[in-house]
Amino acid sequence: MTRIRKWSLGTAALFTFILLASWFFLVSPKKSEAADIQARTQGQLSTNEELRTKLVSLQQQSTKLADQQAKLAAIRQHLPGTVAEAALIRSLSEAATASNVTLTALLPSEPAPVSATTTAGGATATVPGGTLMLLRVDISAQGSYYNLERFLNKIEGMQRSFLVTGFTLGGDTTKTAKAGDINISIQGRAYYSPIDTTAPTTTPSTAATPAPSTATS
Amino acid sequence: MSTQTAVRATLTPHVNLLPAEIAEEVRFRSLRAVMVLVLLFAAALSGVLYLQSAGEVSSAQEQLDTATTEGSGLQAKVNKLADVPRVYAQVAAADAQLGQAMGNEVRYSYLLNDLSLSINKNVWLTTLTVAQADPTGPTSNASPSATVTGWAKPGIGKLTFAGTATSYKDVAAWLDFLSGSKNYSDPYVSNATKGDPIGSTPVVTFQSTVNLTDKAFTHRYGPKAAN
Repeated sequence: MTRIRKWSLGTAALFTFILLASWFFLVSPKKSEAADIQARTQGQLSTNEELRTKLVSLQQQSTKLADQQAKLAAIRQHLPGTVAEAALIRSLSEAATASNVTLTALLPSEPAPVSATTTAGGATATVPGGTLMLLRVDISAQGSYYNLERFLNKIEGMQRSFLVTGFTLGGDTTKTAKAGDINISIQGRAYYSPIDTTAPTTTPSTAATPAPSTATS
Repeated sequence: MSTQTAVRATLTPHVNLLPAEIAEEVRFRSLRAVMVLVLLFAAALSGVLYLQSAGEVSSAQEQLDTATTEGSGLQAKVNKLADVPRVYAQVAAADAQLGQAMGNEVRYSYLLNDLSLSINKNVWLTTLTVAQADPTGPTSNASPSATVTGWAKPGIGKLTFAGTATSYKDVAAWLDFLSGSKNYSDPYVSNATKGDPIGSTPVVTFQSTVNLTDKAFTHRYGPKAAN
């Protein structure tokens, strides 16, 4: 083999080596790095797009935030966060006075959680937002038919929701009764919801259950 | 130049005084220079490719930085509005609870009002008992009698009346009255008995029941009401 031939082959080998080495040790890692960064960029762009969509949605929702807060406040009037028994007794007493009936007994029982997840008509539905508590109250009152009807109407229209589940209306035979007065014995229930306002979708801790009480006038 | 002259020129003898080794060395040097150039070209090509790749990295990094900065800005804006979905979720949860609590509401004051306005003048009630079935489970305080079973269609509650009429026809008219309301179904008299007259007015005492239909629900509360 001549010297020129040797050098030619050596040069060719060196040429190939330089190209391959630079490709594998310099260019290819950079290409790979660039591809990786581009993939991350695509991911970030995709995230940005989602964020943009979410932001638009949130901005649209935020225009109605005041309405929602007002709605929440209104619902909280119906379903307070605590048992608020004093306020309930006060409201019932005011309803009786306004209807010109005599409130003869209030018999609240111990608060209890509402166990079933049912709605009107008995359809099953999952209700989020924590434990709904109920306070059963039996109410006895005395008055004329029309005044008792007004009393019932006022109870049904109270700011705090009160569900009348039954009642008995009958003649009054007590000595204190005025002529034409009849008795009504109402079974009803008030509700409250000790919702954790910081995490509305999680189950709140069990509310303290106050001792049952009886108020009789 | 003529043809003769050209032939003479090619045939002119000449002597190469350069030794073969020298010529070989000259050729080798030339070739070596070419080889060096080739290798330099390879190195330059590698450099160019590297620089191009580095440029791609730099450009990609710049795009990533821009996208990341934009993402951070968007995330900050979203975080500022984090309360919005929370409030919506609270409203939805509270609304659902209110629906659960009050979904079975019947405004009995309206039923009493309808009764007082529409009842036959020859019929008067002495007692009225209303018991509404409650689907809220074992914590219910509803009377067991509120669960409507048997021959009648299922209802949401039951009304039991005790009353007095001036005749059996008036008792029948009472049943007709109950049948005419969409809030009631399956009126039924379980007992009608002739009693002692009040003065000269004959009296029939009766007891009757009627089922309360789901038409009596107010649907004032909960998500259904919002729709």
